[in-house]
Amino acid sequence: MQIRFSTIQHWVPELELSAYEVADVLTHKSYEVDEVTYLGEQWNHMVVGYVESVEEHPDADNLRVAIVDVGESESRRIVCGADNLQEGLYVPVAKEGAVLPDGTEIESRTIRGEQSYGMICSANELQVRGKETGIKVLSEEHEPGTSLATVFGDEDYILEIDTTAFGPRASDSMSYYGVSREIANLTGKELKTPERTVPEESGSYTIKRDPELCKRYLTLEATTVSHLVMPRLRDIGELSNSPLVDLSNYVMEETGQPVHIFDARKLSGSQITIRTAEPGEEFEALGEQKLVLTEEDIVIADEEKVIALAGVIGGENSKVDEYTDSIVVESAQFNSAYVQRTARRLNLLTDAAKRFEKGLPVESARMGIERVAWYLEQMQQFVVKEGDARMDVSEFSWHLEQERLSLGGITDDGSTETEHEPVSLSSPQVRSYLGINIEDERIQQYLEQIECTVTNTNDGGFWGGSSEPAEFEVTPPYYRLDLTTPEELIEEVGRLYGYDEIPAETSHISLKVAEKNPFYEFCKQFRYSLKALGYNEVHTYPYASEGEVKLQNPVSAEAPFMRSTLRPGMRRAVQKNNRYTKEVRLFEIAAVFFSDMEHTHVSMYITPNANHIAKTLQAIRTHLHTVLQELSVNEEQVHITQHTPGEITIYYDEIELGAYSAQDGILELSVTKLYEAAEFQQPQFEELPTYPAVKRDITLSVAPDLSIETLDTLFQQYRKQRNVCRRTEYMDVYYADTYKNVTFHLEYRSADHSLTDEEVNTEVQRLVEAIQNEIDAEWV
Amino acid sequence: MQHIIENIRTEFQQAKQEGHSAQELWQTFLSRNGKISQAFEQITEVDESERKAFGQNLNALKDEIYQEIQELKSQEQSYQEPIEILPISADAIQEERGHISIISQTIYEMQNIFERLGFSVVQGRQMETEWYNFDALNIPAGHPARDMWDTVWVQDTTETEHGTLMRTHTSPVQIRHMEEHKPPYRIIAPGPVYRYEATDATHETVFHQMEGLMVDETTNIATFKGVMETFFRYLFDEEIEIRLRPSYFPFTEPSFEIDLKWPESDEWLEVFGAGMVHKQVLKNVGVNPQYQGFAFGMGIERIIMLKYGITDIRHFHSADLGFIQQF
Repeated sequence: MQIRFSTIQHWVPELELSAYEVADVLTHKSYEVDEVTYLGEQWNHMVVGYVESVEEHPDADNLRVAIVDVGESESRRIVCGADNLQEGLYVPVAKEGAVLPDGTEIESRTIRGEQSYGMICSANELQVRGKETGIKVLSEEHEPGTSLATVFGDEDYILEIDTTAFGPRASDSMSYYGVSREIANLTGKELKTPERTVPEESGSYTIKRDPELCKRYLTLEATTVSHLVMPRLRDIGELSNSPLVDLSNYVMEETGQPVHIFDARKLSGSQITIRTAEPGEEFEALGEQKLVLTEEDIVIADEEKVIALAGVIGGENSKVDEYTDSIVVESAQFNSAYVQRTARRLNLLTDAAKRFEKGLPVESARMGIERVAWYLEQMQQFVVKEGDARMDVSEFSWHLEQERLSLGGITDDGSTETEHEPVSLSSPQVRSYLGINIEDERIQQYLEQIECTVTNTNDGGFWGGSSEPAEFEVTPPYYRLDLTTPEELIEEVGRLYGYDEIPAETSHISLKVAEKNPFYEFCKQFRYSLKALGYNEVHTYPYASEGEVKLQNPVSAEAPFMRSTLRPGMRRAVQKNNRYTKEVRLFEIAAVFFSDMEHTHVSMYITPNANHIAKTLQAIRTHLHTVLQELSVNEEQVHITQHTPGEITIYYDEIELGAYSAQDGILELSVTKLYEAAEFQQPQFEELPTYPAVKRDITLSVAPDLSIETLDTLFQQYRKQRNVCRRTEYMDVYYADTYKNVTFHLEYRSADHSLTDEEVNTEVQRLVEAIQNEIDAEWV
Repeated sequence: MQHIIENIRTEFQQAKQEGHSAQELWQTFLSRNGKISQAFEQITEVDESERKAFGQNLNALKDEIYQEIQELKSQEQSYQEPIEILPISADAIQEERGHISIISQTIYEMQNIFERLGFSVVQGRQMETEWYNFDALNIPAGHPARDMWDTVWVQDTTETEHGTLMRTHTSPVQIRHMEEHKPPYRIIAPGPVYRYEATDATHETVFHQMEGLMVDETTNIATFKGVMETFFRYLFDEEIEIRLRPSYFPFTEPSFEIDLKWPESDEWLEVFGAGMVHKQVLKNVGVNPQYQGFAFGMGIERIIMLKYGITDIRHFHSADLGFIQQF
């Protein structure tokens, strides 16, 4: 919402704060002001000039030289080509440094040999209203040198308040008057009472109203001219081409109360009904929008038809137009929950709906209609002043001749006062919540500052002088519909006291030991282990082209699912980084989604070795092995199989964890499944060896189709049988046409003596024989 | 046989004088086929009565030579010429250093600080029900406050009372935790959240939050300020100032925006929202409203962007090593 600073000054005449100070106070005490914009910026270096005399240009027939007083010690010589330039005129002058709306920068320059110190501007050049040709002529009311910001009413600021920042305060503050009232309450300055016109209660309409839907409904009748001029229009920005629409918009912005104006001649009968719509009832809203309504919508109907969707939008069938000469103004209170649902279901969150859905007090409905009446009266008397609305008198002078407006009566049906339940608030509660030692009197004072009625029910009764803490009964002012609980009142006390004044306190916090979340820590350690192995963590988008969890409103049409695998995301990450020529190592640990659960997966990638993919798989598998060791997982339970060439499945025990695909070089595992299946083992201390280990490398020649994995398993089985064999480890392979030679590294050590060569030889011999019992292998 | 020992000693000293290296001396005297071993092999030729003395003397000589070779070796190792100092190069090490994303790093840093203050990590679901994400937090269907969160909705395959969605904030974790545990509470819940948004430099469809909840019988706004001030001073290692402004969230009352100011700056930066847990929220999960405390939700990316001067939030999901390896 935008509000002019001059408007706040209008409602709080004694205000001593600047626009920026007002923004600061609101931001700290009430709601955030996003931005303050100085409107005069555009008029920098542009002032009123008085043409003292006009000389011919010595060198050009169509140019003249004006001697202009711009409020400086010396008058300026300015070259000008306009026909209407003459002595004694007040004109707008752009001095050097000024920037015209079209971006032209003004500097003093020579025009046909004559130095020109600035430029006299036309209405077009300034983009203000006025005749299209010649220089803009200003009224005589401003002294030479006065900034054009003053002349055009732009010596002003706009405060921009994000409407979501209001929260429930939108119900009292989403208006010029509401924000001004807040400022008045915060600064203790008086708030001006709005001028109102109170028409006679002689309206010709009868209202049929369900109080559940609508607590108060008012109409005002008037006959009017079709072209009125609305004062203070500039406040609301975009104008419509109907002054009546502008009027209703303005009153809504000003008071927060939406009002709607019907063309009286388009209404049938004298009864207006407020009811819920029939299921399937059709309605054509303004802008020729055809709507289908439900029982959850409130409609306004005359004796024949629906004329408005209550609180949301008017009807095409009853709207004012250029031929309208009599009107019915509606101002009402509607059930906010209905308006909320209707506006959202139909996607019609109009400015009116935004206000009704936050709830409005019934008093506001009366204020709205009386302000409309007052403005209607003003409009017939209104004289367009030069500059005031950036309009040219000449364009509107004919309006002033016609004063045909006459106000009719009003109908006012329903409750006239908001009934607030008093809220109980104990002062210890305030102190305990805010964490400050605020006195009872001060609490009461703050609540009264925002117009609450406060009584202390614990003031000692007859005897007086009680030292008991205060128990307040607090009745908020009619317009504060949001103050219904003690905590809301505590917030009021807190913000008026000032959150900055509340000390930062940690001394009373009790000691507590944080508990570890085992799975969370597991994932954390997983990340750190991969980092240590040179992997880089990526985050990829969680939306996928296929999956089990389909989205109703996907953020991208190509990815309507939540991912159930990290693989496609990792493929994109790989592509993204393929410009890095070196080997790339990436991983991601993130959630994947299935119809009935979500799991955590890990994906890992190393740039494949194009010549030897087996090496890459070996590396990634070794990395996984290392990670599992760091995670204290018994990794002997990990098995891998290759059902399809290039697709390597990884199991823990019998549980399938995931797979490595040679196609994309990505290993993907379920961290959740691994964690659930994992057997964790604490390190076991073993006495350090006293006797040296003896190392041997042996090479076995085997059939080319015998997998090294099988051979490795045989070695490990053997190792488990022979205590003295401490280690067997695959080292290398040599491929020949009809066989392959596989080298293993062996280590032998005894706990009680140094092994002799003979002993080790026997052990190796025994190992080879054991393996030869299982497979065809030759020791080479 | 004593002369054998003396001969070896003399030969050793001679060889040493002649400038043989420690390696050569080792080879000649101490190796498996060296002179000492050979002398031991001759022990059978020694008169039985002298064998013991011979063995002892030979062993003593072996130790003596061993000591001298060690000394020589350490002398040899003191360099005469300076070593060439080569520039830093990734090729010098087998493995390049890996990186944890700055998001994970920051979450873990935050966790460390909060754990010292007694906050435990709690995890929730990312695919949530409407109830936990909204209703239980005082945001029933149709409530205008729902506009504050643009929601990615999941297509429900079965008729359910409450819809399914991708959580728009980490706050549902609070609700689930409070339902399952008795107060007092001191938890944090980091993790991804989802929004239906058009992405630009400051908006993403997925980002991370750190939820916090501290509820007991005395926690108040002063406690909140104390905890936050402590937290940010540890996180940024600077005398960060913290400021509370009134704000609105349906699940806290009062609600705040928290602004931070760095010591060298004049500018207050809006960082996150927080507030005292709404009594109705406590009632919704069956917690006695005599308990009170605060909750907050910090945008992780927002804090990282402030800390490092990053201006485009889309970097975080770009998976670009150029970005990742900077941290």
